[in-house]
Amino acid sequence: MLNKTYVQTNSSSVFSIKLALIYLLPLVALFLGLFLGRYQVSIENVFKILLSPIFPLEPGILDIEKSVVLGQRLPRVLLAMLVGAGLSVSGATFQALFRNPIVSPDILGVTQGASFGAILALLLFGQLAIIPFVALPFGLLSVFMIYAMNRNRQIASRLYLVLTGIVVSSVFTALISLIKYIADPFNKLPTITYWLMGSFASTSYSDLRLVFLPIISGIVFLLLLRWRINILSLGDEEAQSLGINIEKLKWLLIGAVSVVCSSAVTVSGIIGWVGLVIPHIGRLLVGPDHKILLPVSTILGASFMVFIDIIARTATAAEIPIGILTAIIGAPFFAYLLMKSGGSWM
Amino acid sequence: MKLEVLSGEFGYANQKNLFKNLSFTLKEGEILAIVGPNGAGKTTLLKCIISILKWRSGKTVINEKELESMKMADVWKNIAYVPQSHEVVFAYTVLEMVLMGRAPHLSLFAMPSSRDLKIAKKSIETIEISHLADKPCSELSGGEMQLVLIARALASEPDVLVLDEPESHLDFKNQMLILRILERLAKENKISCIINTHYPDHALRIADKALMLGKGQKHVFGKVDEVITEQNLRNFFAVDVKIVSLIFEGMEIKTVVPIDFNKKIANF
Repeated sequence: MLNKTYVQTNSSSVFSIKLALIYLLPLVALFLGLFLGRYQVSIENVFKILLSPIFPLEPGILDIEKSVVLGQRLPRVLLAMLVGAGLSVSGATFQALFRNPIVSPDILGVTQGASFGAILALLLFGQLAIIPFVALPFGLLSVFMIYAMNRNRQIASRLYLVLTGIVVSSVFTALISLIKYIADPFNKLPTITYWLMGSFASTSYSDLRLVFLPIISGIVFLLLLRWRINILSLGDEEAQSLGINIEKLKWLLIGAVSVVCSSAVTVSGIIGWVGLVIPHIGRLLVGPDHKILLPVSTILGASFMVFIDIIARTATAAEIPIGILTAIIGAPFFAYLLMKSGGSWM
Repeated sequence: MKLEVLSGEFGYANQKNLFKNLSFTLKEGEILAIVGPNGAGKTTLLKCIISILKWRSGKTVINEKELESMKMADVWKNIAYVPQSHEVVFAYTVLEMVLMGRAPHLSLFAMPSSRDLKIAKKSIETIEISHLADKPCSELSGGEMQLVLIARALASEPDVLVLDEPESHLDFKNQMLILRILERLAKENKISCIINTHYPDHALRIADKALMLGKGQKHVFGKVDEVITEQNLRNFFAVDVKIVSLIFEGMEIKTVVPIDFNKKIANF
């Protein structure tokens, strides 16, 4: 059993301080995201630029500094937060829904399904605006496939669930390869390949506008249902005997997760591991109660994604695709979880 | 509160009936024990009674109202189900787990209120497990987990408690503990209980009524002394038994002693 090591201090002040610190993280992430970068902007100037709508800028601050902070870094940090929060809350929800702490939308193939839809749209239409509308149905399709294969299966089938996830994600990964094979190698293939690695490099306010509403409403919806998610995690029959309409609740959750993940995929490509790892860190910090775990996962995911993105754009002269970084950090962490529990949850 | 099952009939899809023409009545504060050999469908019957599985024909009636015509949430305000204790996936604390018993009273987006918390704590006190309240469920023994599940069921403030083999896999002390709690809930809190059990002894000890379920759609229902008899046990379990009565400090205790397979009935 995982997570029995966390210290139960729900009522104590230690726990409140811990929560307060967690809730401060996104603020820290936001400011670091605005200060740090290959173009030097002083802390003082960042604050002046941020306050510029209220107090007009002094002439000493260059226009270029303003455009770096407000035009590039701010939308990028905000989008990273949205995507990080969305993927993490989706991961936590899926882990409860499938009663399995080792699943997430990317392990079960939802991300791959949505990505296939997205690059299909890239190939056929070449427009960003239409991508979410093609990504979403494919994201939903992949969850439906998983769900259909796991109907009528009880607790003993957690290994089976992960296997079906591998099946679904393999199918969509193969289809993605097929599209890459077909795509024009000089024009569309590089776009598709780079996009698939996951990146916030070319983020603009129009990306933010495109996915802001679906991701935020999906997250809020999941957060509102967070106590019910506890009950669903007990298993179908127990949840039913506690008066829950399980089919309705499951589809509400699956729908919300699909909207969030497909939107995230649309603007940032495949960013793996976040949805798996962040809820585990959340559980280690605050325990498994989804009433607290879900908001904490949201906050941690938002902050984590900004920190990773800072590394992605400052570590080397060229940008490192963020999907590569999350895998480099996420995969070893998963290995650590495996070894720590000895795989006993299988 | 009165619970009735009228001409219940059930079989899984494309299979023949497990039981049919099954009727019984349970009054307020009574305990009904369901006994029968493995595979007779005891757990299935429980699930039919509480509408987790749908009767093929027949119905469950609670307080003159048909269960199927009631709203889900209303059904589970009247009836609470205690499943067989099992491994938990997420290590919720005992208090968090018991609080989940309040779910039938809360709407889709609602969070438990301080009143719900109070009721959960009261259920924990009733079952006398306050010392476990902050412990993660993953660290409990089988007996403790069973008590937690009973406390969770109580938190929904039910009229009927339905328990699936609550004392299986438990040691003597924990078996006694569970039986005493059920007796107390029935007598003092006027909660009617339906339990599945592998132990005819336990039925004799705490139940008012008994239902013996056998293969081939046969069953008997009645007062516990009239159902748990040497003859019925031989017919349903294919084992010859003696029912022995002994008096200990003024209390009469009946116990079932198995002698051997009945070779005529048991077919190997």
